[in-house]
Amino acid sequence: MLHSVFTKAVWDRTTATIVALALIVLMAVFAMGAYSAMDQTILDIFEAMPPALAAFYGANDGTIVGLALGAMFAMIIPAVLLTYAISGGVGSVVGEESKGSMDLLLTNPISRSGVSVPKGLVVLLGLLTIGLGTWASAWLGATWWGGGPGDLQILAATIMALGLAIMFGGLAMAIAGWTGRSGVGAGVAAGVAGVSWLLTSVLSVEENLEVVSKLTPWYLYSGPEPVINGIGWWQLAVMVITGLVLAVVGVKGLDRRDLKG
Amino acid sequence: MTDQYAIETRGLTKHYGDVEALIDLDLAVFEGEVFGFLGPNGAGKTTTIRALLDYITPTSGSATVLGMDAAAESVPLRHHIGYMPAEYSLYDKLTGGQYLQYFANLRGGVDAEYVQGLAKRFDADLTRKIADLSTGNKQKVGLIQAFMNQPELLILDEPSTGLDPLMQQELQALIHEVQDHGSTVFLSSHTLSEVERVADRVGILRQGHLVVVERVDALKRKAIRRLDIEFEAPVPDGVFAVVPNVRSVTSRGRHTTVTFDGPVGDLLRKVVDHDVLNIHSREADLEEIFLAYYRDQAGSLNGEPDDAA
Repeated sequence: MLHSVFTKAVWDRTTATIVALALIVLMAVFAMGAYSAMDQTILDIFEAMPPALAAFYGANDGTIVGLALGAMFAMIIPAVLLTYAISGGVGSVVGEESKGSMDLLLTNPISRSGVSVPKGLVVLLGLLTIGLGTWASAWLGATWWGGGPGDLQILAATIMALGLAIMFGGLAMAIAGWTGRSGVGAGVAAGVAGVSWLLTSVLSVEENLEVVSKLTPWYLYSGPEPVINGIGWWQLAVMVITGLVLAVVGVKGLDRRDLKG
Repeated sequence: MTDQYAIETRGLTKHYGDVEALIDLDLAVFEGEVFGFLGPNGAGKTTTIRALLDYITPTSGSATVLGMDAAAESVPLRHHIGYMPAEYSLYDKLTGGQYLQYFANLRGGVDAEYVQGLAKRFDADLTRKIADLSTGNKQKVGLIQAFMNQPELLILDEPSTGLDPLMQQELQALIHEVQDHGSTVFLSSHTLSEVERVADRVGILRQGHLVVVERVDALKRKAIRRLDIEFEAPVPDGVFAVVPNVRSVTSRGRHTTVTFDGPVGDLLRKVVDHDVLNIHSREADLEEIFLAYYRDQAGSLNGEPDDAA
């Protein structure tokens, strides 16, 4: 547990990882159950929805399971993953500094990147763990309540959501790493994610503004409709590469600026 | 003490925007000495230390620590340094023992028996969670981590904060012991009595300028001292005012108080010309020296920077 920065970071993030995992498991199982219980009613409600409202529920194949998975992957699962990635990303570059423990930690023969990189890797590991839990619980929920996912691409949607989380986690790291301010890093990253989600969802139903909706970072995730169509490979590559590059930028920022005393 | 430098800075300067936190600091600390670094809050002491540890980048100038470049070789340098900052946080969820074990793992080469010995000397309970410790007990954990790898250079920033008098004495004893084993101690403080008991030399910093570097005993010799004398009969002030090195004379009845600097011989010869009932001399402490230097330097510091180092 306390052998290295990496193992301590694993220990430090265990609670957050368990909470995020529990949220997703509960949501996957119970949301699926709730949708199934309503059966045809929920399909009718969805059919009757104005397109602007239906857009918030994401893509689906017209089945109960598809509707439930579409709704979960449209907002709730990405929201949990992004919250974890953004808070973890910020914590990996300025967490020790914000808590006032960085000066003492750096009395040991480790560099600043020797602190931030292992912590960032632990966040990535946590995301993959939560992703695995997301896929497993969504698959179990679909099987338990709806007879199985059928052609629905749960794994693909999970991987795309992870890509989105990596991108915004990297953005948070970059901003926090250079400013040294956890609130700024988390706030800007969460703000950009929220606005881009809103723009993508709302503008997609307006013919004149549809082009704009496709320019947002969120569209890289939602555009390929991964629940229906599977992984959008180039979009995934853009999200992951952007996230990793931004994470490196954040690490470099921490390396180069003055530490706050 | 050797003639090698454990710390050497050349023109070390740090600006934060328009604020000049440290100005053209030329400082040399010898290996094996205990160096007191004095100054009021905001004088630039912690800025100096953070530059030495590569936590901040100087605006200009350079620093060498144990023969290594403080910035370029900061990571290997930390194998040889123990540091306790003035303000810090420990990990509240860990016990003191877990915290020290974590740092020992990161540092490598830490003797567990030595750590236990330090804990015993400081009467530190390492089994309790840090969140439950008092300020003084947290300070003990901070001190143990600074000393535990038996470093060549110890940098201690206000180390006595929160310690009771007994523990302060223990700390002073430990500082002397590590010095005897060849370590250098860079002791930053605004509590002057803390420094004068252990330091060989002191540097006084004010408004980012190094005002003076001097041996503690030499500083004391230069300082203004006070002689309180009770005579058999009143003695006119003018008798002592003409004595060399006397700064002021005040009399009330048979009691006369004389302040002076430099050798006391001339003054004593003049005193014993009269019938003396009682005489009391108070040794100057660094507070008086500190204030005297501030008074003397104030003019130049407000104008041209003084090259007192």
